[in-house]
Amino acid sequence: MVTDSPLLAVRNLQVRFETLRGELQAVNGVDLTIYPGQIVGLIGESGSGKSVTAKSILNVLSTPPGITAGEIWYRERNLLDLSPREMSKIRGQSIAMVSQDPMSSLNPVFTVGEQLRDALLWSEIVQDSTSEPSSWNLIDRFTRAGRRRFRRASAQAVEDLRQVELPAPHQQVKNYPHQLSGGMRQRVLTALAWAGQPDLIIADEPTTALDVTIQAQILMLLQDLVKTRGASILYISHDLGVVAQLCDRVAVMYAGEIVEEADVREIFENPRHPYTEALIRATTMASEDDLVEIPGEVPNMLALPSGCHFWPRCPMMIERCASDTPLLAVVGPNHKSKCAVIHGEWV
Amino acid sequence: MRILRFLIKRLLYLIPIMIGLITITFVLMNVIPSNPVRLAIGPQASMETEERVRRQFGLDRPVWEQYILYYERMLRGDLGRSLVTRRPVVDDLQRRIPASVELAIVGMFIGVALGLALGVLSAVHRDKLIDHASRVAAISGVSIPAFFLSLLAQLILGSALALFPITGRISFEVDPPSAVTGLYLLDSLLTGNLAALRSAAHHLILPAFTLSIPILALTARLTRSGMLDVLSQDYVMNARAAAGLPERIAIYKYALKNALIATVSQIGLGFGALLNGSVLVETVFDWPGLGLYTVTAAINQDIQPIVGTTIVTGFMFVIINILTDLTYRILDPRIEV
Repeated sequence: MVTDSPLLAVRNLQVRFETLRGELQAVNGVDLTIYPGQIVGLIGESGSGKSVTAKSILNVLSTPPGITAGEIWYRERNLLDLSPREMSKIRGQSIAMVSQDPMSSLNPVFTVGEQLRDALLWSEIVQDSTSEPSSWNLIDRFTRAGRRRFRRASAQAVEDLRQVELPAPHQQVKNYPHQLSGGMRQRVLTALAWAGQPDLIIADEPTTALDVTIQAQILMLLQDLVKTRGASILYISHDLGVVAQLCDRVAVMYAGEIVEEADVREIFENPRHPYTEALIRATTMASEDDLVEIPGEVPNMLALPSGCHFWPRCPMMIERCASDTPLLAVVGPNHKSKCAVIHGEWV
Repeated sequence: MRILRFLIKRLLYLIPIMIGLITITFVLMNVIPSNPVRLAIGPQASMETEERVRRQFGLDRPVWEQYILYYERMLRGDLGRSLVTRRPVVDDLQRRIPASVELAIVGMFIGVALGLALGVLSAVHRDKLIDHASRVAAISGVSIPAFFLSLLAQLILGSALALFPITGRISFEVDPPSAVTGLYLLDSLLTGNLAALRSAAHHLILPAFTLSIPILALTARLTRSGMLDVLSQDYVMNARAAAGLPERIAIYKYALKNALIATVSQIGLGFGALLNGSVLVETVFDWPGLGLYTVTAAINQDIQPIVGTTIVTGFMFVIINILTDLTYRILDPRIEV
């Protein structure tokens, strides 16, 4: 599987924001590779730059506008070189996002059927691209071809909702988002993201707002869809349990950088970075003893500690950690870590 | 169904509102220090005449009885007689309401349409030239008094450039269209009177545009802030990131409908500003509507027409508010009736 050429290859991604209090480096030199059919987990605390990485892949960073540098290779194309017009053909059709919060990610004043139908319509318009796709075609109900496309998309919307196991889909299409439960909305969002038949889904904490049983159902759904449609997923989460269950490979982010990356078994059995270790301990020990927390605070992104950004919170810290910057080095088979300290020595 | 129930409920509310309005006008009429009988009969008439007229109108009875009489007259559609025009107030109103309504509708339409366009453009091109220009225009729009703007429009567009007529509703050489609704534009269309249509539209442009400025400014500001608020919402990002919709659709379909909710709910208030403005605009442009009528009546202490226009204006205000609430509910499915 891993012998194929990568589907997505992020190289040295940098995202900066100009803020009133200075420049903020939200993502600093992130490398990320996703192969076809692979589920890659990207984990880290809030504010570590996971969501910014995800959004900059699709170029949908909203306000404030970020300054993005580096390379984002999707198949043979660098997404950062594409024109807005070309990029809009990638979005939803090749790479689509399932977002963070089912409560706020659906438009409150349109029925779920109309929102899904628009996505399907647009996908069809982009795909039969005899000409440049135009927004006009999306509202075209005046020509015979337009009406036919419209009917087809409406029927497909019901079918897609059935595939994400939404009960009574032909009635749900007429409902507004506020009439649906959180789990149902997440199913709609999932259907929405699959509407353009993308081969990469970026799932940005799609289950955080849901209770545990619904969460498990949504994860099963994602896994099923990957199997049946053969797509890849970049799964962004702070929930290690979910990542362990779902992903093939895991990258850990801290303060805008990837600090460790390995296959899922390897990283849980043999974590090499103190931050990963602390995360795993915080998750797995929590139920037995008292809550385990990582000491210290999430770093201030405007004033990052020098050297390794994790040193103020690190139990293994030695003097050099505060002055020298460690490299993301190969430490095992398919395993990289950004900690230079082994047995109390800088190597 | 939902909408129909709402409409019936709101129309029923109209009854207590009108009762309140009539009561207030009655109280005001009785507390202002003015002698309507003396004003009606003139300074030369004798005391006996005054006494007779007072009895004739029931003004010698106790206040509560007058109050009931007042209602009786209202229900009969009798609003008294104007001292200035010497005609029943109802007849005057019938002639003047269409003129004002036509001006208000066209002014409102221009203001809302241009305001929406300007608001959306300045939100989409935030902090660019168009945003700054529209901000300056909007702030000037609300702060320049309507009479000054009217005079300016008359001076520049009417007099110096001679593009538009300065006063009146229709040219003297053209016969007004036969009255169906009293709205010249509509009537001339219905009767196929193209000369009247041309002239009426030509006369309407300047006053309607002047009248629309405060509404335009209000709408532009509200739409801009509403749009900015909506554009940063997850669902707009999601329309592009998940559904892959083009930016144009994400903005003009998915975001705009949400932004409109906030704007529409405020436009009812803007109508109040419009009515205020119409008093001044109608006076300057010699527009034969309610505003001019009220001003003339007020100057002459002519109480009956003032009461009449107050009630009519109050009624229109309530109707406009029902309409905006209705639009608001059609736009936003989350609101339960």
